[in-house]
Amino acid sequence: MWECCDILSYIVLQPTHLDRWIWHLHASNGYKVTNAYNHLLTSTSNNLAITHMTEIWNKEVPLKISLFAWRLLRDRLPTTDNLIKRHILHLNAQLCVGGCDMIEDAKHLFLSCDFVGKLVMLFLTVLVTT
Amino acid sequence: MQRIWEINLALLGKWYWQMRVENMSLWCIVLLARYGEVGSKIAEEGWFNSVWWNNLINVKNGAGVGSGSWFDDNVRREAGDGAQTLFGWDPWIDGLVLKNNFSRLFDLATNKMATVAEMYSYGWVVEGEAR
Repeated sequence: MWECCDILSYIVLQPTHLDRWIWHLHASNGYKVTNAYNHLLTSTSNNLAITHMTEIWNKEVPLKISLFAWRLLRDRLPTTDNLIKRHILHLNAQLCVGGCDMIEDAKHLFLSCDFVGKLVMLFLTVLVTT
Repeated sequence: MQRIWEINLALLGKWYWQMRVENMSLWCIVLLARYGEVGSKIAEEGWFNSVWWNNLINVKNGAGVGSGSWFDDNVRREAGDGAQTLFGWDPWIDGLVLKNNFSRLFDLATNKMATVAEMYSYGWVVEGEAR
């Protein structure tokens, strides 16, 4: 409470001015679509799907691989959590198909799932030996 | 070439901005009556929201872009006489929203919709203690 009073004690209203909204990125003219757009472009630059555009859409990569990677980075693969979101699966089916008692989403399947990890290793050994 | 997702958000932001600036205008009153309001801002949970309105709510919440809200983080209320600024709801002190930053005090407040001018007329300190 004292902190609140402290902040307020410095504030003096100016009865001759009207209240107004201020858009920080363009303080004098208010909201501008162009600079909101530019702001959005810079703040999405750390979006994986956008920063890895050239690697994903590479002519030497088969199209189905590109599509798969694209969908993965946008989290649009039919993982259980996405299927539940679209009301295809019921909420009680949210656990990982690998049977590891974790909620299945793209991150879990591709990074932390034991079952999938073993599966990938198996495929790799088969590929290497053939 | 423009990126469609970002330009769409930026244009929706214009709607949301205009709704704040012209919140007394007829078109805005109609929209708020249609979809609901909380503290003269748009309400989130509606019965029959349109897709467009849900997108506006996403702008309000700044969804989809990094952390925080790309819109609210860049909007400030500058208090002049304080008559049109809500004490607890508007980001009028350096972007601070008192309702969120002093939520326990706000819960105790009897008049949650008080304007800055009203609170000022009571005198900050007295009101602070009364709360």
